[in-house]
Amino acid sequence: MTHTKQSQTQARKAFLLLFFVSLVLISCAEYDSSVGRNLVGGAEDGEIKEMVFLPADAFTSYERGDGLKFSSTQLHLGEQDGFHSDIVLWFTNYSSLGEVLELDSVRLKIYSAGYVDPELIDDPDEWQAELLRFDELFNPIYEDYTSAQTYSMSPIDTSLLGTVDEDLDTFEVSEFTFELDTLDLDTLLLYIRPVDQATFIKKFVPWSGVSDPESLPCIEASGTFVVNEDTLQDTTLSVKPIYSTWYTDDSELSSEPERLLFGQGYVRDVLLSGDFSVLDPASHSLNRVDLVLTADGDWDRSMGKTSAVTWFDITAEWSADPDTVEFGAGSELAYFIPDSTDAIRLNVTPVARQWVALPETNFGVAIRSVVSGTTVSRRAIFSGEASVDSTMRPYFHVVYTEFK
Amino acid sequence: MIVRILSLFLILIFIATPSSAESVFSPLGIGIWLDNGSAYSSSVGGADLVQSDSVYFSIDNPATWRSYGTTRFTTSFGGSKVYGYDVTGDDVADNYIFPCTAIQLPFYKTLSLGFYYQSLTDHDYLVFRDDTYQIEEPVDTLDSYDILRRVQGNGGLARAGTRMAFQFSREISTGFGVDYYFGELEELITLDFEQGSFLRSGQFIRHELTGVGMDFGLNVQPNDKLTFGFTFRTPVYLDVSSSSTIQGGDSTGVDSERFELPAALGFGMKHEFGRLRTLASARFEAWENSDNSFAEGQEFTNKIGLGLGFERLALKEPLIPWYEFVTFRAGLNYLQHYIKAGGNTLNFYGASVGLGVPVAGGRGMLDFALTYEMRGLVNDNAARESIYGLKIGLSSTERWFVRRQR
Repeated sequence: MTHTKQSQTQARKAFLLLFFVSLVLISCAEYDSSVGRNLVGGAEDGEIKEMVFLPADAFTSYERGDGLKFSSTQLHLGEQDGFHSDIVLWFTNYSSLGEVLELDSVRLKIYSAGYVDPELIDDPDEWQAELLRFDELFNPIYEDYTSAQTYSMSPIDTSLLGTVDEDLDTFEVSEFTFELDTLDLDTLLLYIRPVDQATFIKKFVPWSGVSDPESLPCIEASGTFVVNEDTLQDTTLSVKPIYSTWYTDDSELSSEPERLLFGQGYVRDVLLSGDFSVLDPASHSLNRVDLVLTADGDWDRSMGKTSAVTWFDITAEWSADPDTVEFGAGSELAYFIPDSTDAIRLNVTPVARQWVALPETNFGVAIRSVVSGTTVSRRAIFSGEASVDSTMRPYFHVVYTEFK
Repeated sequence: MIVRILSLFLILIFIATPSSAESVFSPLGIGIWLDNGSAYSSSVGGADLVQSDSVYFSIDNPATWRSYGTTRFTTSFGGSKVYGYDVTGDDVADNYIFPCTAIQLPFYKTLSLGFYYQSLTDHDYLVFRDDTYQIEEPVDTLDSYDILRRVQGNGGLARAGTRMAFQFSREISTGFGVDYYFGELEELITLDFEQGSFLRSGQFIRHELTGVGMDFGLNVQPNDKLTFGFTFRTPVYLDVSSSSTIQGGDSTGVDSERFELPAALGFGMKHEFGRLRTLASARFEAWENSDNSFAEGQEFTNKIGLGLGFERLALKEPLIPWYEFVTFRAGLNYLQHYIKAGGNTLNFYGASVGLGVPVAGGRGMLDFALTYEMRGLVNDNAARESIYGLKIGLSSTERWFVRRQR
């Protein structure tokens, strides 16, 4: 056998031909088989099942406590069904009025903006609020959850906030003023709270970029100002607050074991957890897990307009001290609480899958308002108490696939 | 040198290329048994069990690996169009496969050494099935949900090993080989609810298979025209390491099982009369009594394979028409598959034609095989397949690794 140059060339061509044909064939490969289903059999397909179980006994309503809330739409002042709200205004620019105050008059102006539940108001008596100043620095941002009541305050003035408007459907914005004759340069925060027991919550216009500029709360000062050694004679200046917040507390709300409460605009969440250990992570795949709650449409202590809630994963143990609750990822869906007695199905499948795969991460979910801080509302759902109709109690509805 | 480097490079590429047969019957057992050797083997109906000359040798019979004084190697790949249907529909799939490559080296006088790689089974399939489930809502009413089941399989079994052959005399040659079996079978089962509010269920199962076996072969050539051959493969016990993962979870269950490839017997014959070469083979594997905890619940039957092939050999003369220096081949084959489908025996019937074109001055042969195979019957096996395939292979004899004579 001889090795000629021609024979080597032929072999090289043969190999190259093989190579390229193989590439063509490989590129043609595809998956499109859909027949043969009878051969796959049913033993390995898994079986779809469902189950229902009640939440675990660590099941409670939770109140974080009072706090200062920011709102771009309204400030709340008054009391209603155990809910109490005051207004706090922070004037950091007040000192810019000058080194020496020789003012003829100083007034705080706030503007009303309606009521939380006008249809429930049945007391038309006049009522009034008092204005106080903080005697020490209080930062509503970084000390959000510190009770404002623990700080000492000095009264400045009281003001009649009028009777309840007779025609609430055509509520008109009204101006209310407080005289600030005793105001001095050390004052930073002003605090407004009702003097008498009000039976309603009145809303006022906050400082906000979205509010009517003509209705913003402000201090209006007239007189002679000395600023940077310049004297401004017979001048009127208007100063707007940097923050306007409202201070809430509903700790006086009586306990109702048969109900769990959602609070919007102030913090009242529902925390609950379920025992998913009955589902074996090696053989059960969850298709859908709903947390089914039933709203109490007949509860007479509901407040405000119907609000929407959503769930958040809880990432740490909380049963011993609910104040330590830590929230993880939340649902992208919002669930509206019906006005009638009806079921709400919260799809908690993503977090339930995690609970089955990693039981050590199961701390339950928190049901919270989608929007917190802008307005006030309160709704009730039925709890798991034995005295509650069994069809009204919260439960987990699990649709799953069992693989062998 | 360039040809050698290119050849090795291509062989490595082919080995790294996965096989895909995507048969309707792939879910059964550890997959559909490919039983396809080189392009040459396919063109003669797989009846080349005893074939051995200066170019060709059979991977399954170590005795055919005897030395002819040169290095022989073969590599093949192929593509096929699969038409499958059952009572619910039909389907078409393009497939490709790289069945084997082997190299045999002269070692010492008539003693030779060789290595090979061969894919054995394929587990690729994709099946959809619609179902409806009724779920009783605790508060609401009975609701129906449409479910789409999707079952997908991947992987297969392959083997690689070494062969050693020795020629005792002109009439008798023998050989043996050690085979390492390895493979991976994957199955992904998903259940999709047509309603978007439900999440997909899923289970991913993986089986890893490994095992070692041995092959023995004996060729007897009583005269120039007639050759007989015998092969024996020891039982191979594959260790099957299984894991299962549920979709949406991190959990994994691990199990260990066993799968036996039973002992296999083969008988082959070759007869040459003038330019006509006739090849025949019969193979038997005793699957009925095999130990298979892995495929529990599936019904096995003995595997029987028959092959019959014919060749019109080429003339080695100058200045002859093309059809005289090309080898023409044809073959028939039958296989009773090792596992039953639909409770009945699964039979394969195949026919093939082929060409062998000499290249490199006759040192090598470029082989083409057109094959047709019919698998199963709808009435008996719940499905039927028709496979049209083209396989191309190169077998060559080289002076690689041959010690130069001083």
